[in-house]
Amino acid sequence: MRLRLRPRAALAALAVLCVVAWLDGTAAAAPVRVAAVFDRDAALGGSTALDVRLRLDPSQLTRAPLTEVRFAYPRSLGLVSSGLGLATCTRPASDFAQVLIVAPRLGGCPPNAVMGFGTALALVRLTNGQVIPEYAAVTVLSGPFEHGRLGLVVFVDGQRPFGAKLAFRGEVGDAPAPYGGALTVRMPMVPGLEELATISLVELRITIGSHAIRYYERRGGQQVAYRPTGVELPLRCPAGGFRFRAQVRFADHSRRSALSSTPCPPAFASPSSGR
Amino acid sequence: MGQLRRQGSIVGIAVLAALVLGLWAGGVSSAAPSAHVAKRKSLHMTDTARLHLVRKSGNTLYEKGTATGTLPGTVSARFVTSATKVTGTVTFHSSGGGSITMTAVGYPQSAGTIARFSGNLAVRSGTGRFKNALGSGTFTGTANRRTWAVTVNASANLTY
Repeated sequence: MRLRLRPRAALAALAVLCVVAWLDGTAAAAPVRVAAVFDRDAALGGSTALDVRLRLDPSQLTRAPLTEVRFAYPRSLGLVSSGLGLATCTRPASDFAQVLIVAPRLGGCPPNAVMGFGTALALVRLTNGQVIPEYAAVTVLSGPFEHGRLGLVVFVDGQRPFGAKLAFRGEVGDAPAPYGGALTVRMPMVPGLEELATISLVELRITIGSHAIRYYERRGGQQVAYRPTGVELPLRCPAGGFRFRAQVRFADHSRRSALSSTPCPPAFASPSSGR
Repeated sequence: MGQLRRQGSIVGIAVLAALVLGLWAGGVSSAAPSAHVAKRKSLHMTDTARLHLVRKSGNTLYEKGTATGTLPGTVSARFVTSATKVTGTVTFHSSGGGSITMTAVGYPQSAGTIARFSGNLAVRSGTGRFKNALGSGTFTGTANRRTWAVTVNASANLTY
């Protein structure tokens, strides 16, 4: 019995070591990493949720605060043609320049403005040198239409241990080929916060067109909930798969970027492909 | 003297030939455009198209519908959406025969469920009685982003 268990334990230990070594190697190679994943049952010609994961390695990056995250998506991907962002989240300018003490659910914005849900992990470096991880829930909403562009409002709802609530502005703009558009979120310094701590984003995960999103419309005099159509996939796969690019900028004007390619889903739309 | 006379007559013939050629060429150059213009008809078109979604493929919408106005009939369209503009090809199939195909570039003016847009269009081709149609114009409209039902008010000057 012992003889049988030992090789298994050794194999398991070896596997763990390999994974740790691989993760270390990957982290060392790339200070910024991005990955974009479609629904498991997504199909070309159908709609899908788009799960975006951005990872930053603070040990390889400047300690200057993050000021901008830009995520470029492929030209053929239908974000504008999706059913997302049918209402507008309009917040006073003061909301974007302070830590919000009281923030109602969705920041007081209409549910039909929600475009995605996600999570964030940041390292809060206090002035005494102590580093504390902070977990937050993230909501991406469509903002006011300005200068010919669809605005974005991003609510970061700190969960633990600090629970800080922040709001950021952004937009959906054009991006050079092979990309068709880019989601940009700007994170200006919040006055008062910089004297207390430096915040380094470690991980940001947002699902655009999440299955958890519910919109409401009137049908037959009644308010009815429905799941909005997610990101539209083209009927044909772009050469080399769906290419994405993430770029982060810091307060010291340095910038880093990462590329990713998502393989094509099958070329037929099943009835349950996220619609 | 005889040589001079011969030279004079050659010059005279040359000048005459040049004048004749010039007159002929001038006649052709002045007559051709007027004849060409006379053949082309001009039309100021003001139509309203009501379209519904047929299918989507990524950022591209395929729509069909009907038009009322100067050229009543059916309409088919293909719109490519991007973050800041929509480009498209729209074909009006006139109930009186013939079709007009135009390219359009529209810019959104608002967000929300009912999005307003406006833009410019160029008439590039046609069939039947509108063969070789050319022209330009503008349009405004609304798109229901829940159903992708689109209403377009187009105004264009065209020759065919």
